[in-house]
Amino acid sequence: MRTRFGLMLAAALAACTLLAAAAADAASYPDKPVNMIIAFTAGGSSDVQARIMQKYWNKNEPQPWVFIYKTGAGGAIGFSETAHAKPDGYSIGGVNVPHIVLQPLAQHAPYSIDDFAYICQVVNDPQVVAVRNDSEFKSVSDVFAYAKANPDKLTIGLVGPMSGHHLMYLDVKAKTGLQASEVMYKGAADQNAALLGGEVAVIFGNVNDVMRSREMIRVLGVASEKRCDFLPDVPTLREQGYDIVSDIRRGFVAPKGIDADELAFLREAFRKIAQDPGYQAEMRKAGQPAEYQPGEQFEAYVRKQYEIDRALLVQFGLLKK
Amino acid sequence: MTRKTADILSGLGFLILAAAFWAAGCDLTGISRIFPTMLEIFMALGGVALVLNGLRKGLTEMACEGTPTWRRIWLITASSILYVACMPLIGFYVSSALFLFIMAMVLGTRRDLAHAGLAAAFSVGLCVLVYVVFRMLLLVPTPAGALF
Amino acid sequence: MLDYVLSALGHLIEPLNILLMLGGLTGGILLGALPGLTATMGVALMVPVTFAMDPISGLVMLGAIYAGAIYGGSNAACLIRTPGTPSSVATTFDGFPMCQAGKADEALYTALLASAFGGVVGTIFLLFMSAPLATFALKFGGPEIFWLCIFGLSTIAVMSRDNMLKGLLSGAFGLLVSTIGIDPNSGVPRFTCGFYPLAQGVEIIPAMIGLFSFSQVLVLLGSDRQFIAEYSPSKGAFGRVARKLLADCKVNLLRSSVLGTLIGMLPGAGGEIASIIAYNETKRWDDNPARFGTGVVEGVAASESANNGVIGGSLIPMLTLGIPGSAVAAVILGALLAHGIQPGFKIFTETGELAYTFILSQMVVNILMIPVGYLLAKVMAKILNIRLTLVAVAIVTLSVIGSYAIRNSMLDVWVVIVFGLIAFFGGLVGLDTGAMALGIILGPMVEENLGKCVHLAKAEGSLWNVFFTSPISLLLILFTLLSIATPFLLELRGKKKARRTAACMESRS
Repeated sequence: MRTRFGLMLAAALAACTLLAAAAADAASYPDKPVNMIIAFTAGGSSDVQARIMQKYWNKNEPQPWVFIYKTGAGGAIGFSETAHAKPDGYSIGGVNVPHIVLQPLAQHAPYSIDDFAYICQVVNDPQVVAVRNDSEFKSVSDVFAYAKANPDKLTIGLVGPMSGHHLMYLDVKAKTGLQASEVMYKGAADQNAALLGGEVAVIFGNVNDVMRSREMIRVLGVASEKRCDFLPDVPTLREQGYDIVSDIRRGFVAPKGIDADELAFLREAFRKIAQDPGYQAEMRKAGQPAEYQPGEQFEAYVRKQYEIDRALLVQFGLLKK
Repeated sequence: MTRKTADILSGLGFLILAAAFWAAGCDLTGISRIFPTMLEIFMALGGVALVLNGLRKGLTEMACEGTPTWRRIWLITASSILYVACMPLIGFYVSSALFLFIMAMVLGTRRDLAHAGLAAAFSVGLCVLVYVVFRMLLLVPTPAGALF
Repeated sequence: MLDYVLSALGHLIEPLNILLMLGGLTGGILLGALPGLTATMGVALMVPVTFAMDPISGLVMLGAIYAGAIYGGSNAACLIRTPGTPSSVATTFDGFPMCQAGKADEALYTALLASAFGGVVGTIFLLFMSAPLATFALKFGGPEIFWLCIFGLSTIAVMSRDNMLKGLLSGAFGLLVSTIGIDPNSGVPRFTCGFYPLAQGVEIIPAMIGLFSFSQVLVLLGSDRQFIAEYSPSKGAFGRVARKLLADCKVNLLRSSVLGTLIGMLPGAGGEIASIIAYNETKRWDDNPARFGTGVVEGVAASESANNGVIGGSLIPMLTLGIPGSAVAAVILGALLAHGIQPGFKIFTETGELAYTFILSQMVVNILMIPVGYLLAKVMAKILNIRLTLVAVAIVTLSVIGSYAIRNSMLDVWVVIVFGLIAFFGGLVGLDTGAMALGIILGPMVEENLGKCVHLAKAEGSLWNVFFTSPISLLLILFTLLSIATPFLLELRGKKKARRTAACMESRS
């Protein structure tokens, strides 16, 4: 007990000296710890990604990140926290697309894509069509053809509702005219378990998630523009004749209204991290498909996605006025 | 409290809760509504049954023995509500230190200087402990306010 | 396998690893004992630290924190009737009455020994039966989990025998509360009354802190006691408890640990459900169920051995399939992946050294837990020597910080206050807090899996086929029916016994 207390005191002293040292050269931004708002639980994919980033941020910057977990409502709680945080440069947050597009559209979430100043995109995790190893389906067209020939008989597992998977399913429905039974799961773990246990025949999942159980899962197609580094042998859906591109992207944003110099500083700092080979290697190890895009391009992508998703939701009558 | 009043009160409580949820969920449609509506109906029916059950009971059966010290219960309830309401304004550490000190004084049996010293040491000590564990060792944020 | 086991043992006697296990256990127990700081959070906070370590040492430490925190939850449950983690809700039922009867040390030692036993049983399953059990766990789809939840809910009928209607209504209210927030099936927010933050729903942990600990503060201050309980450590309590567990609780401990392991394997169902189900099964099979809730060793033993059994169980699908069986296992999975270790059946061959070291470290951790927990229990029991008023207000502050820490939301702090008041005033008119808690815990799972069944029915052709064809579902339905019938059967048995004794008396006279 006594030694523990001694340790605590030592830690306290050390922290005080650090703080004092930081205050001494408080010449420029950031001169105090930056709050990093994470909209998903500690230890989840978003958190692990940000934690890896933090390691490289600490290499260049003296001020640490303080992780604030604002979870719930599929991320909407955390995203709106970031959107409405004080734009003083000391609150930034991770966002996911299409989540930040869909939640204001379909779930009355109290923020919009205009509330953010976009720092950069760091991950592009494409959706895949996957089946169990022993499945009769050998290609994506097998799956879609079966679903067209036997309406409602095919079960497709999605994480959702109102998620990237759900949107991809709607897109597939619109473009191929198939009719299947969609089953919604709370998270990727449940979804993978349902596929392995045979409750659903097919899942639309993310690369990051199916990689966890890859011994038993066969990936039939990737919904990305070019083949995925993690699955070099798997053809894209476009190669198989379906014009479907669907993914989940992670990025970082600040609340709108942040000082232009501070935004420029953050964009530069994140660019440096994203291009660090050590960071890229660690992301690969963690199964995170890294793809850097600068802030301006990320914002343009979000706006384009907004139009596409809106059109799909209107088409399927899921948009409430 | 007698069993009779306990049954009637709890029955009315369930009826009110069911009605409140019913009113709040009026705009729901389809699959989102089925499960809550089933529960609301069950609670409403059960509430009515409890009230009827209570009305039939005699006044002699006691539900619980002893009367609690209501003064202290109202005191801690009111001050806890005030404490939580003030927290976003003046911050966790200041409001906690105040709350702990005042409650230790008010609820304590003695009001002398020695006791005040003990209460102050207790409230500051607990706040420092929380600060060291949460802020320094675990880096977990506490509710922030204008004053720390 | 033997090669791996030998090299694993080699790793485990390295001084650094022993130190990490001891440190992880101590930290875990303290975290678990603080209400609101859960095992998930403790492990998640330490994951970044492991990035700088050798993967084996990192995993060993995370495992130690996990085991320590789940046991630590029982300390607060016994001493101040506050489940330190949601897994120890059922521990409060008998642990706190034991403490009030002046047997705090016995309650803590029971929890300690039962936890260690449950942990070891879970680890044995993990070590020898991973592959078949993982395949079995996959058989639990939407319908099976739905029936498992219904079985869990049916225990309300056993829990509140003296007033079943109030128990059932309390459970229904808990279920209704759990529907606040985003609907799992259609994605629209419900019952937010135009106040969007309510879309996050009522989080389980703040609700539990309110139902059990804030209401307990009101109860404590409402009484005219000076201290929470009389406490004078009695000599030889540890030995007495150990002998009692060995003599009377063998079946109980084994059944609860196995139940914990099995439930732990299912994704989504963790310690909070396992401990309640184990508690109720122990109560059901006891000769005199009425004594449960008055402070019996068996109740604490059941709940604590089950929630530590969950640990081994939740690691089975995590290691073999990459599907975590609990929130903590999910975090540990993240750590594994970050170290570039791929889960799967091959984990026992390709990275066998690491896999077996991790599994065997769980065995060692559970044994080390006994001395570490023993020393800490002695320190923690001192809380009973502090004046009740000070303890009560300190609980309020710790409840606030604990509920806020989960997701940094003031709304969660208000949840604590509101549910504390509901539980306190509800308790006065005879409502059942345990049933309400069960409803809040199981509600989201019930509705989500009901939704899955409806979707599956579209492909299957009929709802009947989905619900009533799988053998596991039928078995669970049978258990549920038995569970509902238990109170009536017990009453019948009681009557028969009474008649027999009456007959005996008559023949004697």
